[in-house]
Amino acid sequence: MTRLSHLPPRDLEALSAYADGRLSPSERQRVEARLRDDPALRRSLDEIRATSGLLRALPSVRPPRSFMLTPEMAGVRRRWLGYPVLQLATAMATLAFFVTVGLDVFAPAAAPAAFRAAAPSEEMALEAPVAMDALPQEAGAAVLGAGAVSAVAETAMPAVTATEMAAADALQASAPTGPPLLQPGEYASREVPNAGGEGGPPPALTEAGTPAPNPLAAGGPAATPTCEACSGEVEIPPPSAPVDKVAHATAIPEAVPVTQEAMLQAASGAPTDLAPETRQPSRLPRLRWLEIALAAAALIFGASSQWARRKTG
Amino acid sequence: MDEVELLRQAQRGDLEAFNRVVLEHQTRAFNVALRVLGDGEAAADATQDAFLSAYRNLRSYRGGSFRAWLLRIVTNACYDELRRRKRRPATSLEDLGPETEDGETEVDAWLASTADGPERLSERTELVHAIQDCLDRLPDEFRIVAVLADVQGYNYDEVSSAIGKPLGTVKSRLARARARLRDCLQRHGELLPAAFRLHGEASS
Repeated sequence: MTRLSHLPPRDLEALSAYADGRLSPSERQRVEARLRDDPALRRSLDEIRATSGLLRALPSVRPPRSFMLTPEMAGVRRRWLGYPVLQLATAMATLAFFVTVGLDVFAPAAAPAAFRAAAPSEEMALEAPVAMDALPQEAGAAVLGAGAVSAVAETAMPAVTATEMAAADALQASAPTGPPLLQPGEYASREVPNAGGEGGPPPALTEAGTPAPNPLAAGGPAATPTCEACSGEVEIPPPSAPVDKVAHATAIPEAVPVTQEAMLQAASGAPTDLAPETRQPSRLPRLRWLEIALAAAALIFGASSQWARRKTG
Repeated sequence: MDEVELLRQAQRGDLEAFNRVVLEHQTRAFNVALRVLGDGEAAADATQDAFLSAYRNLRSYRGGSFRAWLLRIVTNACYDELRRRKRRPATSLEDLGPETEDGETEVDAWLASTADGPERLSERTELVHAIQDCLDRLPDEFRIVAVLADVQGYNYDEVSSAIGKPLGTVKSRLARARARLRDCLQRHGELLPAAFRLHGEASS
């Protein structure tokens, strides 16, 4: 007997594929021609068919159990997926936390000051022009008042470099010259005695009052400029300003009576000045709040990932 | 509801829809694993692994024949089990043949569930053992092709996609698997159906 495995591999493959009807028409014709002439090949084909038939006749076995997935089996996958995601979230929150703390600790003068100064200068740009438009309506006081506004800006800005903490205060003390439009004379004048009478008036008020001589000297020309110039002065503080500030501080007694109108302008800003005062403490903690939030997020994510890991075992 | 819709729901995370698909395919999947692995318990584990893996990777199924897609996963689960055995020689293929008591009782238990009379059952049981024994003796890659193409009746293209090999490889492996099986089965001559036996004797 010719064993199938002794057939040339090409013949064996051809017969096997022929039995399955998987030969191309030309191959099939060639095999059929050989089968007609070769009884041994015919027997081999029969053996292949019989073997294949035996295998097909193997009974299908009923599974010993069902392979439907339980929610636990399917859930395993979700938790496994959740674990790395939570770990990543923990790492990100922790990283963000340390970056924020690092910014807070190592760059207190740079980042936060810029952070605080940005908003006030925006307010200035918006409000100062309005104040300038309104000034002509206040007759003779107009020029002097405008001078005071610019002078305030000049003295206030140096405060940013001198004392960082007062930066926002000073800027905003000068900025609110706009609101006088809405609250004219009487309201503002009521505020002036208060400010002057108090032993320790807000720094913004004293600084606002002092510049009076300044408009006469340096601020004089700056009294007439347009709104762009006004906001421009705010953004670029003059380098000599700190010196001015010291000089004006000693000149306070004379300055106050002389610049009644200027005081009106500056003091009328006082009501709105309170807003920045109260906003100031909340602005610093904004960074703290961010730190706290990030720390809390890192802790929550960390705890969740630990929980997830324990769940998945 | 048709399978396409069930699969779409399953892809959205509907486990019940997926389980209805499992019910539809589990017998065939289990039988592939059983014939490839020759061991009921290992086959059940491999089938379970395959369905779990199918559910996890359901997103990668993008239409087409789900039967063929699932077959590839089942085949891979079988390959995994075969590799595991190679790492642990204690449960090598020789130990899992029908000669061993364990193998026999398991096969008997499954066959007992079919509705045949006791005599025919024992005859068939022996034949089934003989065929499984010969399958077990084949090299892994031959056995898988023989099981898929002959035992389960998948076409060449399905087998090709299941084992990730070209059609030519399927053809040649199947031909050689059949030749080896034929030679092996002749040693169990008295068990074989008359036609199979007579032909072999007549040609000798």
